[in-house]
Amino acid sequence: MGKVFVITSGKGGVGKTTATANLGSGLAASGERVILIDTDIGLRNLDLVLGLENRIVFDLVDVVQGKCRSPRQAMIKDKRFENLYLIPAAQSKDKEDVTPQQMKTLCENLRREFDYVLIDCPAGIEHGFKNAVAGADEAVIVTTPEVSAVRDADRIIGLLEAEGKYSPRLILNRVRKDMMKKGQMMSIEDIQEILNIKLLGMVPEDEAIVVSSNKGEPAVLNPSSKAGEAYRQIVERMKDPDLVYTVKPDNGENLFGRLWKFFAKVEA
Amino acid sequence: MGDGIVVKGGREGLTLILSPELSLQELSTVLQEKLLKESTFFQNAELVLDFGARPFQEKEFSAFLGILHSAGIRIKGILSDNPITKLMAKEAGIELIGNGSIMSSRVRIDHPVKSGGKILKEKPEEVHASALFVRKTLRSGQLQHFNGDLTILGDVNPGAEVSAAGNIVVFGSLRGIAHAGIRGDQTAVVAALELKPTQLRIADCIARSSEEWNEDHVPEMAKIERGSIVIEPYALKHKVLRSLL
Ligand SMILES: Nc1ncnc2c1ncn2[C@@H]1O[C@H](COP(=O)(O)OP(=O)(O)OP(=O)(O)O)[C@@H](O)[C@H]1O
Ligand SMILES: [Mg+2]
Repeated sequence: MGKVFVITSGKGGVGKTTATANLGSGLAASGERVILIDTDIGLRNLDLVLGLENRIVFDLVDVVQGKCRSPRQAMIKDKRFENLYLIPAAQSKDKEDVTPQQMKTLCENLRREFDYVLIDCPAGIEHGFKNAVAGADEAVIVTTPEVSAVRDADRIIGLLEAEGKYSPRLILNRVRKDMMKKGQMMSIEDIQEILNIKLLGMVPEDEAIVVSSNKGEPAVLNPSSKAGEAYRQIVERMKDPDLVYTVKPDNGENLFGRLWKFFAKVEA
Repeated sequence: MGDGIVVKGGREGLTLILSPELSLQELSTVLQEKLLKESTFFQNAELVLDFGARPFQEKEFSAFLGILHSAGIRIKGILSDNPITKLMAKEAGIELIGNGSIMSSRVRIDHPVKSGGKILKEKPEEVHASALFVRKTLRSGQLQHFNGDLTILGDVNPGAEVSAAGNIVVFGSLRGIAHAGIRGDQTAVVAALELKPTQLRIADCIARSSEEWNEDHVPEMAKIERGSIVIEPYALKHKVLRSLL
């Protein structure tokens, strides 16, 4: 049985679609059977980033409404990898055309055939978000080192917890080490102080991302891209949950660690 | 009477028995009329609401409480025979009084007892929840209210809000909004292992986030002194807390 991941953020434009394309291509490059689902109905992008726009015939709404014979018909095979597929979002339909229950059913079906089902979530916390997370058992939160993006990520983590989806993992995107060092940007410690979730990895700000998105060739396949290298490492961590990138001591210790510190102070 | 609402005075104060026969909308209307008509009677009273076996849909409960709240009604606690309603009340930080509705057990709704009459008998198993422990981090957008003392074992993140009729203690970082003594208790305090709230209120006093919050991670406590909020190191010598571990 494959795993179903949702890639989500709350705030828009932080790099969810880019992450989905890169993780999907990276996993496929390492031999995994992968299917990507774009749930950003009305604002479909994932096909562009993968360079598959001109192959679209059916879309997600057609699949869940049974307008095509089977999900197979709507699956677009990637140009580079035999084992990577995309179900594109509908461009001219409503978000309400898909329900969380339909997404659950679809994910249950797809995980029988694929090792990884990656769901690209739209921005926001409304209907589209609910659809995207419904069938997922794991979540990847994408954020940038900005106060507003981190605040929204925190909100999303709270909503996922409310749905019984704990232990989401974090991708910190568009990191500029120089600015972080000068204290001009939130540091990973600042961010983890609030979010306090496992870190999948940090992706640097990289022009190659923009160039590769425009060409429809994910950066993860470009050996000279720094962001690509970061995504290759993230793919490894995704495959093996024990490989974690930790910056702060583990969550579990937190409360008691703090309490001890507190009482140590009191006694002093 | 006969409007589906019966008012009783009991050990818990004024209790409104709300017939489950009425729809929520009818109930809000009747309630509002009643409270307006007898406003002096209800002024500053804290009410106990008896919902009987009424089931609530998701969100209905908090919406209904919201209506009451905006009408200036303070709720001391509720009585209910419905397990889901009880759960919702618990989650909303509202005290559950007694074991269930008094409709089912002692009093029938068509036989109202004059206010002031003693209806609720002392029951040995009756528990008074005056403190609530919440064992999680409150994230942005999450609210936690309690009609007593509130303790959070976790953080209160920016964008999250905690409020309590009594004191608030956070075993973690308090970076969101905190309001202690929300019903006017000026002696309430807010304490945290790390006190960096966006906004902090005690009773009617407000303190906003500024550079003043301590940068070190030391436990601190906020309280009202001579009409304004002051912050001081929180040195608790009690062994009581230690026993929590
Ligand atoms: N590491 C990076 N370095 C530079 N640019 C990046 C990086 N990651 C993403 N971008 C750019 O940021 C923009 C937004 O990215 P993307 O479309 O992936 O975000 P999104 O979260 O999917 O947005 P939406 O919420 O609109 O769906 C794109 O132009 C993309 O090329
Ligand atoms: Mg997108």
